[in-house]
Amino acid sequence: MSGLEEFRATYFQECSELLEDMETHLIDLSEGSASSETINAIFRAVHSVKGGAGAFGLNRLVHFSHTFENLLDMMREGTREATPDAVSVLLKASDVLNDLVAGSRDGHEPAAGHEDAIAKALQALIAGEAPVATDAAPAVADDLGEDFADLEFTPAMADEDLDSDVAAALAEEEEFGFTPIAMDDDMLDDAAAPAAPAGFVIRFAPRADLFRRANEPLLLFRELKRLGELTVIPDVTALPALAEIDAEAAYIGWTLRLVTDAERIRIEDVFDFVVDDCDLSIEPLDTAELPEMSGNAGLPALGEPEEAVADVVEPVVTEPEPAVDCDEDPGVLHVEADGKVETPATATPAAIVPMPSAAPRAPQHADAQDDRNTVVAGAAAAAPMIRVGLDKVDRVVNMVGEIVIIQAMLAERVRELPEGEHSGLFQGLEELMNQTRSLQENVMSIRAQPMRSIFQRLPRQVREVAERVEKKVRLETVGELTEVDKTVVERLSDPLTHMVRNAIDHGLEGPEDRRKAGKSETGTLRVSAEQKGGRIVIEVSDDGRGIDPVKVLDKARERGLVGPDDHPSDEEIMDMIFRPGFSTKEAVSDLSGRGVGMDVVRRNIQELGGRVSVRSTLGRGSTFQLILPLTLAVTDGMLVAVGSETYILPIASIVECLSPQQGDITNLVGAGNVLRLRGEVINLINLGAVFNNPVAERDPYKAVILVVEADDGSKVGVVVDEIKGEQQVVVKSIEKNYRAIPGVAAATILGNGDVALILDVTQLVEHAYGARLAACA
Amino acid sequence: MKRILTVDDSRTMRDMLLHTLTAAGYEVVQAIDGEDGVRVLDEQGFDVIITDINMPKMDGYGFIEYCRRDDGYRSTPILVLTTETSREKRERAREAGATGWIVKPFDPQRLTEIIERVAR
Repeated sequence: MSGLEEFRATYFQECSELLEDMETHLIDLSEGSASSETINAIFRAVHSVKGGAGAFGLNRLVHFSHTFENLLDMMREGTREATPDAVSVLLKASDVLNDLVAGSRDGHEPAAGHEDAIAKALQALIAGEAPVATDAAPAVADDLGEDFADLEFTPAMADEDLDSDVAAALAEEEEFGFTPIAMDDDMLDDAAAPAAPAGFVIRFAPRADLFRRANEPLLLFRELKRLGELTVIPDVTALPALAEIDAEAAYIGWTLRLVTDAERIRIEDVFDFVVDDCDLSIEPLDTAELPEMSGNAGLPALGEPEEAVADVVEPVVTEPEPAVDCDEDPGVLHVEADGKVETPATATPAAIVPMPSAAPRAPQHADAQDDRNTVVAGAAAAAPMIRVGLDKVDRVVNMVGEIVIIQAMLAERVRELPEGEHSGLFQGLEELMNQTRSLQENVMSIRAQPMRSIFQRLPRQVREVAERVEKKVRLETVGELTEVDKTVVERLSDPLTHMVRNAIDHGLEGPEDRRKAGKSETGTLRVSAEQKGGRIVIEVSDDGRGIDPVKVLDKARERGLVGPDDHPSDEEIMDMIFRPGFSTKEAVSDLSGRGVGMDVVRRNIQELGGRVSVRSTLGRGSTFQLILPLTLAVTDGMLVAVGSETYILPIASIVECLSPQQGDITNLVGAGNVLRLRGEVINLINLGAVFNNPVAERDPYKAVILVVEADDGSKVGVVVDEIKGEQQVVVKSIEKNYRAIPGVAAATILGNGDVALILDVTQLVEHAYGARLAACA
Repeated sequence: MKRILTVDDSRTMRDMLLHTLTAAGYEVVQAIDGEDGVRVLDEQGFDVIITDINMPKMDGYGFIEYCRRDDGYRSTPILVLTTETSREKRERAREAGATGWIVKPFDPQRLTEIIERVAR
């Protein structure tokens, strides 16, 4: 398949669109709101996935989608019914298909046998059996857990796992799809020279259907001729008298003598399309009668195949052209207005006439024209779309970033001027700033996608989890049209899934408990997304049992996350559920347990420059809130001065800023300076020391401390000279332009043209500790 | 230059056909389903038509039948490009008037050979 690899990206892009569509249709199906088109659309999606998979040799994907497709085909034909049980299997099969596609795309194939249980269930349905239990299936596997489980990389499933149907179909596809047939002469030359000429005698008599399907004997002869030396002898004995000729019937047959070393299958292949529309016999040359002897058409057998094809075959009048008008003068070629040459049926077999030409067609009949206009008008009703490569959009985003920087630079210069004398300039600059902001917003909105793509997956996730833990859940979603940066949407899916599973598994009570607590049996899960002041706020709330701070604290103590004498505030206690390894549920549930819970969510969200927090009322429910930036290209930063340098700390990571009072800071052996803040001990990092800045303030009492939170939830105090203000900064990758620097996430350009580093708090902490440990050693 | 119409709802397949056929020296016009194909048919002539079977709006069978009813395309070769391997579906396409078939995934060389077999 060389040369087609470059279409892989297109394929996977298309797959994700297809799978998304399929999801919507499957949900319609499960909710009973399916139309007759629904199954068809699902079938086509699986079918297209399979088609492309075959082209790229993704055999595992082909196998599974083939089975999946078979069942869907039977459903759309009406031979299998889409019962609720069957739909449940389809939903799970769709999950597996997603996994396999993602695996092929990312090169991390799911473990061998991942699809087996579902494939069996599909096969059972195909065989007309009731769906088999698929509890062991990985359909509800924890997506996030996948990141942590030791991934096994196993080659595609073994052939013996294939059911014979699939194997047969694949063998057939190979027969028709994969085997290239070499046509070069070398191959013929290489073969041992036979004693008698090797070859075949082919008797070929087309029936009318052959022409009706636009097959053309001449072209078949041309192809045969490539295999060797061809002699063509027409047989016109069946040709009736002129008056009895039916223009659409077939009267002529041929005997072809082909001297070739090619195998019989190659000859059969040439006749592949017409074998059911003709009388065909293929016999080896030595056993067959000599073609010359059977040639009884009264025409000489021409030795030169080229001429045979040109002179003898062409005039044959079996071309299924429109019925000839009998009033036409016989023997006269009728040339239509569109340049098409018709061969009148009355031409004699020996007459030499040109083949119908493939001249471009003239404009069509008026009625067809009208139809076309109608369709075009209908298509124009929808907003026209244009598909643009992401790299193009990103280039524009980048350039807009540059403009934002230049604009800030310009503003700084202009502000140095006396305003009274340059009021026009000030006004113009003001205007430029407004336009730049609006340009930036609009460009960012190109990258924006509605949250719908995530939200539409929620109903069935909720349904599946609820079924599994035997709870009743009603899902409310708000704000599915809220638009978020494409990257954010993509990377939000996993954390959100995890939070939803958590909320059902841990948050909501079972029907029994809810009744006892005076609530309705059905719990409510609400997922909302909205844009608030340049940020996206996503909330997942439940009306379940709420989080008990006492239990959380007990657990945290047990896990050693809190010292026995520490008394953290309720807020700090709540925050502990985001600590690595924390789990409040005794039995590790197969859904959301595994000890990789909210800490992973927090890390994912922080990677996106966001924050996650929780508030909860015991007995009333919990709300998890994610706050995310609208875009990753621009971030809110706190500008801090360290000596002569300016650094930027992401606002999202800053917990609080303070000027230390005398006695707040203690020097601990081996830990350096620590800050005591409301009973908590916080390590301090002096940026001046880290970056070896000689003029930076080293006395923490004269400095400012920003308490920041690292990804693992631990806090450190960053000591800086002063805070210079908060502003939006354009993120420029350092890694792409230079190389990764520990502790530095990216860079930006300030209004005065200076480059400032945007710090990576987590790495900074690690780096600082590492350096300190090294210094101690 | 011979002109080929490809009718397929899958972008991947359309792009691969475009790439393969253009490389083989054909001019290619794309349609995204049968209905779109019908629209394009009326705008320009084609020497060969390659169509998928499973498509929304108008499927391959319907599209082939349409072509065969149109005097201008009665004798234009139509190849069915499909993953369908069942005899029955191929037969249905033949009934509708398909000239031949190419089973996906196609090999580029094989594809051009097959087109040569049917293109006048």
